This record gives sequence, C-alpha cells and structure tokens, in this order.
Amino acid sequence: MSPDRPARGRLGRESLEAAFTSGRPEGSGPAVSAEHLWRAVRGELPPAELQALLDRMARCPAAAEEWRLARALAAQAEDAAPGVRPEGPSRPRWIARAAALAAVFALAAFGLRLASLPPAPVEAPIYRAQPTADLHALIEESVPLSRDEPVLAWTPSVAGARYQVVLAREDGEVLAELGPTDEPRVRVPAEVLEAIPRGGVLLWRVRAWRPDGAASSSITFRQRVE
Amino acid sequence: VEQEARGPAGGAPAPIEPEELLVRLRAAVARACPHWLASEREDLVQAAAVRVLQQLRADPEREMTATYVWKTATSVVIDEVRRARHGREQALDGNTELSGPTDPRTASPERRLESARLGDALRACVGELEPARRHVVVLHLLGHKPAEIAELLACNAKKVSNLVFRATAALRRCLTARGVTG
Repeated sequence: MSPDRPARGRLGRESLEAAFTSGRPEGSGPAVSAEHLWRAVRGELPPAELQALLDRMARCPAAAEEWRLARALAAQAEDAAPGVRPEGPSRPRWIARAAALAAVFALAAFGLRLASLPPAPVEAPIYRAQPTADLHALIEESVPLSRDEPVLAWTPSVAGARYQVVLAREDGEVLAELGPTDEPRVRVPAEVLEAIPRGGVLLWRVRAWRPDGAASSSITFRQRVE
Repeated sequence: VEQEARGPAGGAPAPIEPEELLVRLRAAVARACPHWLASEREDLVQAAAVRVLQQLRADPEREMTATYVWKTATSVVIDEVRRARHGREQALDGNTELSGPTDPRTASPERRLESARLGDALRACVGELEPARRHVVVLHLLGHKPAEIAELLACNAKKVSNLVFRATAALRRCLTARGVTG
C-alpha cells in the first residue's frame, strides 16, 4: 500500500477514528472541566488553550470521548430552531411541567412500571430500555427490608463477575453507589436507611462486569423499608 | 460571546420543552456515546434528563436559553459518563488494557483488544507529529470536517486540507512501521 493513498481496513478513517478513543490513557492528568470542553467545541477558547486541549486529546482516549459528546450536545444548542417557539408557555407553567416530568423520568429511569407512577400532567411515553442482563433480586419485594439486617441479594452473574449497586430514593435521587464487590449481595449503609422514612421505598439496581469487561445491568428493584 | 437561541423575531430566548429535551438528548448521546457504554446508553440519557431538569428547576430565575440548557446537559452527561467509567475501571481492577468497546453485541474480546492496541499505536504516532499537523489530525480523528477545523483553529480550509492529508499519510507510515497493516 502506498503510504499516501487513502486506506481502508485498519488504516481507514473509520477504523482510526474508532481506535482513537480506545486503549490506555497516558499521562492524562486531572479531568478537563465540562465548561472548558463546552467552550472548546464552540470555538470560544483562546488558541493556546485549545491547542493544549488538543494535545490532551492526543494522549487520552477518555478526553477524546468527552470531546465527541460535548460536540454532539453543543450542536443541539446551535440547532435550536425546532425547539424555539415564539410564544412558549409562561415560566411557572414550564417549571411546573419540568418538575413533574423530572419525577416521571426519575421513576421511569429506575425501571418502574408506568402503571405504578403517580399521575403525570402529560401523557408520558415509556422511557425505560429493557434490562440487559438476567440479574434477579433474591429478596422478596413484598417483604419490607429489615432495618436490622438490611441486605440486598441477587442472582450471581458468571464466575469472576464484579458488581456495583446503585441505591436511590423513590424520587430518583441517588443515595449511594456500593462496590465494586465480588459478592452478589450488599449491606445497605445506615446513612442510606436514615434517608428513607419508615415504610418508604428504596430503589436499587445492580450493574455487573464480567471478567472479559462486558457490562450488564439489572432492572431497578423496588423495596419497601421497615 | 454566547449565542443565545432566540425566537424567529429575535425576541426573548425561548424555553425548551422537557419532552423535547429528552428526545434531543437521546439523539445527541446516540451520536457520540462511547462504545463501552452502548448497552447502558438509555440509562445514561434517563439519568442525564433527570439531572438536567432538576438543575434547571433549581434556578427558576435563569433564562432558559438553548445555550444554557445544552451547556447544563453537556456538564451532566459528561459527569454521568465519568461516573460510569469510574465504576467500570474499579470493577476491572484498573485493567485499562481493555478500554474501548465492551458491548458484547458490538465487539468480541479479541476485537476490543485489537482496537485498544491500534489506539495505543495511533496515539504514539500522533504524538510524533509536529504541532500544526497534530492539532489538525486530532480534530480530524474526532470527526471534524476541514471547514470546521479551519473555523476552530482560525485558519483557512485549504491549509487544513493539506495538513490533514500530510498528517494522515504520516500516521499511516508510522503505523505501518509499528507493524499495523491494513
């Protein structure tokens, strides 16, 4: 192959673009702030700062991934026409709808059936994707979680898998992320239980990583607390 | 200078509907979501939508311009990606050799390892380029077109095209010398 000729396969542009965000970071240093990335992709950084950031991208695949995300999101701001309405709803109404929808999204994001949601002011589509793994809770949903023995357990994934558990309140606020752990069970910390009123609901969700690096998630389980 | 999104008459900045925010957030994340997060993409969008709406709600006096909404969204999405990356790195015991696609539906372990090795070699080669070529080719590898690169770097598009051509040729020579072949 002539080195100057456009290449296909592993040396083609598509392959190189994909590879640019793969592999080990080298000398990455602290993460670039989202504000800095936002300004960079919008062309608002002074040349010297932009060049320093590009040098960082050249070394760090994670930073390059984040640039791509920031760019895609910034493009939404520039492509605002579809969302611009000359006479939008008044601010209080907008805020009220945002508040209600935030609650709807939070619950939907944690995998609850829409039927179990509180009434929403607008018709809500189904937002939740299907779970990607066969991770099932091993505790009875109908039995309140004991405050004396607050253990959450689930069916193990493959041998050597590691787990992380996200705990959240019913409104979707994340209270804790536990793990990673090799055991398919965790004890709920006391401070998390304190954040749940008696008879309140704890949402929990398991993320599993197999030894080959593949990740999967459970649905979100809903557990009433004593 | 921030370019605020304004209504057709150039009047007050217009708000974005929450439903539209979700749809557009999903589209933007789909376009640029890291491969290793592919199986959790929808969860990322959901979590980001919740947090964006919470942040917007927490500042009711702020004008809801497109710039503000999407700047907030950028911050939240990047934060969520970092959170997922941190969890994954901890779970893999710092084995960053496998950085890159981990969605079992999109890549085998062999392909992931191959892509990671190609990435390492590519970055080493990019690092050997002289600065002007390096900056241009980084933007090229991030998916920017010559006109966009020219705008970001404040130079002309013709010069950018030349630099991209020469830089990519140099990269391929470097990769070939390192044993990476097409």
